[in-house]
Amino acid sequence: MSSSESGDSRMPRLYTLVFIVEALVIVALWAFERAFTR
Amino acid sequence: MHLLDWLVVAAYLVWIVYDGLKRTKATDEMEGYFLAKRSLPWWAVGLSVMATQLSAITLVGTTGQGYADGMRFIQFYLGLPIAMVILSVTLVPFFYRAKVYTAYEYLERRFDLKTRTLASVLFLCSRGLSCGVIIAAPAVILSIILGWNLTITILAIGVPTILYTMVGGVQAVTWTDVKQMAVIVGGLIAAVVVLIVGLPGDVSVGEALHVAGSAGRLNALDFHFAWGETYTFWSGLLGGVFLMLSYFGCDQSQVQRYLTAKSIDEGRHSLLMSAFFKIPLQALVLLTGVLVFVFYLFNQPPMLFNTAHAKDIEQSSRRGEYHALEAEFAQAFEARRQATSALADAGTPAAREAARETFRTATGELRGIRSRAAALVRDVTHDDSYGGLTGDTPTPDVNYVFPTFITTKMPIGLVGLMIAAIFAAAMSSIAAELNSLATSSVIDIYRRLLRPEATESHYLMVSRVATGVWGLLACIVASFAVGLGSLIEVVNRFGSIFYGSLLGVFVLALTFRRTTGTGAFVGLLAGITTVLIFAFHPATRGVSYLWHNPLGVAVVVVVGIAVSLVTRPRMA
Repeated sequence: MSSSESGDSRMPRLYTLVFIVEALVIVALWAFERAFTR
Repeated sequence: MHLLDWLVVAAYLVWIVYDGLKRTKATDEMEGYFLAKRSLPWWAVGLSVMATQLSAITLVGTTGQGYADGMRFIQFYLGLPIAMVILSVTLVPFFYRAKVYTAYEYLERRFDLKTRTLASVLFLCSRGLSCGVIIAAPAVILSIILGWNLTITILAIGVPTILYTMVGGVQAVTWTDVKQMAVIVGGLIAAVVVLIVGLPGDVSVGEALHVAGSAGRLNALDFHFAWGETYTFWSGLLGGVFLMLSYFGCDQSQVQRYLTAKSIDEGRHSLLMSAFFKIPLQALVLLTGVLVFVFYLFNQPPMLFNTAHAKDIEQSSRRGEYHALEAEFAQAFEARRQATSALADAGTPAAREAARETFRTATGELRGIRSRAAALVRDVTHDDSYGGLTGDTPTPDVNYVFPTFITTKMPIGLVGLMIAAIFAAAMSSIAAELNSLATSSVIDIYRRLLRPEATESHYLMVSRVATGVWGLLACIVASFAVGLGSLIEVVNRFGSIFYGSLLGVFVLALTFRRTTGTGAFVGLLAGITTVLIFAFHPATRGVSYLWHNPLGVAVVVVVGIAVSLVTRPRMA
């Protein structure tokens, strides 16, 4: 199996980044809603 | 439509077809035609994944949702990033290492032929029908809004797509998807700019958003839990994960996208692109709809956006009553416009609260007139869909809001760009579906069951014919679907009935080593039957279809394991 097939070590960090970005997006949506509905 | 707009649409069509037709590298081999010899870069595959999911009905329907119901539709996509990570860890490496053409091919290696065949037949039936709906939905809207002939509109969307997909296979699909995504995003950004520029001079973007917020259009997150609600935080996050896992992990139209990537990691990166950008893209689409709502607070909209009923009304005895309602609507709009300006100008919290109350009363007045107009149309046309509301807008109007804005309010040239963007959204989804339908037909059915020993060139010829036949079938289904509004819902429900069960079979394949082929097959049938009963039984049909997917997975896994324990050959 080549190294590209075995998966590189950056993937877990990318997965973590996905969850961080999703959390930030949810917070941003909530903040956007709060900012313009009060 | 102005001549320049026609030229823009024509230029788009010529460009896309030319670009698709020239993608012939290695298309004289099966692996080249169906999988681009697993050579495509992650960013092209990632854009193709996003373009495939963003159909024309998503584009015009979601902007309509933004107009009628605000931002809360965004919650539907909250499970997507989680699903993409799960797929990147689980199914992507399995599919890639197995060197399969279709997701269902893997099921035969893991279980048996009958499980593979059942899964591929379910996919072919569901996607074959939905492909017709994907053509029909934008064709109806464009033909009504632009006054085009319906059959010609269906052919204008279908024929170029069939042509380049037949010739160039998956490479043509992917590289045209990249360009189509650029056209869609470019069109959306242009629409947002026009909407912002179109605000009255004394109203800032911030004030406009405050007005939208007062009308409930910026309510993005709803944290209460209800089984019957599709658009809540929990439905989107929990139910949505299963839907997205099923769609991106078990639907060949998506699986085939990332099988074309250069390596496992490139396949993973292509999915993670959606994980990062899908929610922001949908937010942009919804925000466009919200801005259209704001635009029509200051500029009078039509009483009803969908004008399909106009002829029937004019020929009916209630014509005068309808025109009287239009006059009443114009007066009520003027009162609401003044209330909107007062709300935008309100400086203190107390003044804002008072202005908000006046605005809400004026909005309620307009809603009442629209409802009476919709009821009148329902009486005259006997179209029961006019009885329903999406947000505060008659349901048949939702998909016509954005196209109406495009054709009546956007400047010359940009109208053509936006119509091209609707074409692009439709064509990118149809091309991927035709390509995947042909792949599954040839690999899972024709080569596996009917002609196992033919030459590569024979299979290629059959693949091109299969693409053409599926395309033709989609156009025929499209022309019937337009006359049967409820068919669209039936097709969508049909998809949701087997999606979760199919995911359950893959969960069994990857997670429970001792599951037998018979266990998986019986589990799949049990899952589909259970979801079918659940979806239509009076006691449970109110539950959102997002929950059908976890139910399907659970039944398949439990029944699959139980049957495997009974049917597993005993060790000597």
